[in-house]
Amino acid sequence: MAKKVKDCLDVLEKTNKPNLTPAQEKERLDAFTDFCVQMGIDRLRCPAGRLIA
Amino acid sequence: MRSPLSDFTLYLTHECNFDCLYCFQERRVGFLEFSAIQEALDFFQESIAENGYIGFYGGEPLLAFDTIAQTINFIETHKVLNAKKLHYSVSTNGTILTEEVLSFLNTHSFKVNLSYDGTAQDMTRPSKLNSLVRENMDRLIRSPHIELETNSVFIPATVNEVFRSARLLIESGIKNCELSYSVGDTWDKVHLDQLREEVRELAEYLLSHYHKHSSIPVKNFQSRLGPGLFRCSAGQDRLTLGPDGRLWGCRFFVDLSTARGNPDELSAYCFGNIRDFFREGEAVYSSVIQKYEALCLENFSSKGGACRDCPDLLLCTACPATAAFSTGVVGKIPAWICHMKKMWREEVARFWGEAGLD
Repeated sequence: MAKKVKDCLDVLEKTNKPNLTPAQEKERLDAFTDFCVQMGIDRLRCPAGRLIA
Repeated sequence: MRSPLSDFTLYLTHECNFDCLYCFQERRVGFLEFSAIQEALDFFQESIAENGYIGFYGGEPLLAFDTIAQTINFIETHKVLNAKKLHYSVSTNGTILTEEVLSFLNTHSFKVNLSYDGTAQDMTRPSKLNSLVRENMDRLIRSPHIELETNSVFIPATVNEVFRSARLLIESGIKNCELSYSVGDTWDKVHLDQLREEVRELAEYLLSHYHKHSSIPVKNFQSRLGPGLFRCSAGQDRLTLGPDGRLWGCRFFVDLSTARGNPDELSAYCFGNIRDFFREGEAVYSSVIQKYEALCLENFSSKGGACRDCPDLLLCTACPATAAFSTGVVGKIPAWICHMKKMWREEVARFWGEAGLD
């Protein structure tokens, strides 16, 4: 799992360039979240009624 | 709704009979009207999930016990809602638990979240009622149909009470206690280091407890989140109706709206007055929910920069609303929360490893 996490973060890091437009930044994040899903790393949701502080 | 409502919180009042040092809420007079609750439940009858929770929150919600009783009666005589087998929860400081109230909560199998700071209580909540709270905790423990949880909040000045408090609660018979920290304070390195020492001492105690009883009575240690990309679920599977009849994505936004939040920023998170929502709900919901949907960790920031550039992005969870009690901006996480979370992740991971739970 640690390798999958690293691979996902690499996707973000490799696409991190200065002066990205909002559209490019959105594209970057979409590519990252898609890659996370492919790697089996899904969204974590805040449990209802409970503070995750 | 984006998904079935698993939690509909009725924030009955801002009024409270306690004055806790760490309270981030602002006191305001007034109570949520039962008629608004009745109409709201009727309106959301199809959206509320099977086995979902109806939560009563405040302030001190038991100051509005009659409204709670009326609400339960309404649900249990409502054809659609009653068939959903809903659960009820209440967060209380434990001072107004009369025989009548206790019996009612027991009869309706309430989940009671008792706010009790253990050995730190006299410092954080000086009150003549503290011995009564302790007695009431014991009465709650003895109520067979009540699911009891405690929440203890620590401030930097009471950090050295964390282990003693948790041990007191566990040895009193609490099966689920949660340890929280005040979000209105800034936790510096000295206090974070002290907290880590307390948490380590507690972990050792819990390890021994786990080997004897096969249970972990401190909620902070009960689960270890795997990697994931955190998102706030406010407005999507939960809603909160505030004392003034305005609808929000989660109860923390109600608190923010009365306390430290920026009114201009927060108005974008409000679904408006519930009665207006009945008329224009679909259009309002489609617009406001976009603000909530953007509350994903990759869009948050901290002192070190954007969370998306943090190496802990896939390991971290951070409530964007409670962070704003410290920074004043939704989704802006103070540096001390980053350190606090890292400390908890490391100590919980160590505990799970030593307990052989991995």
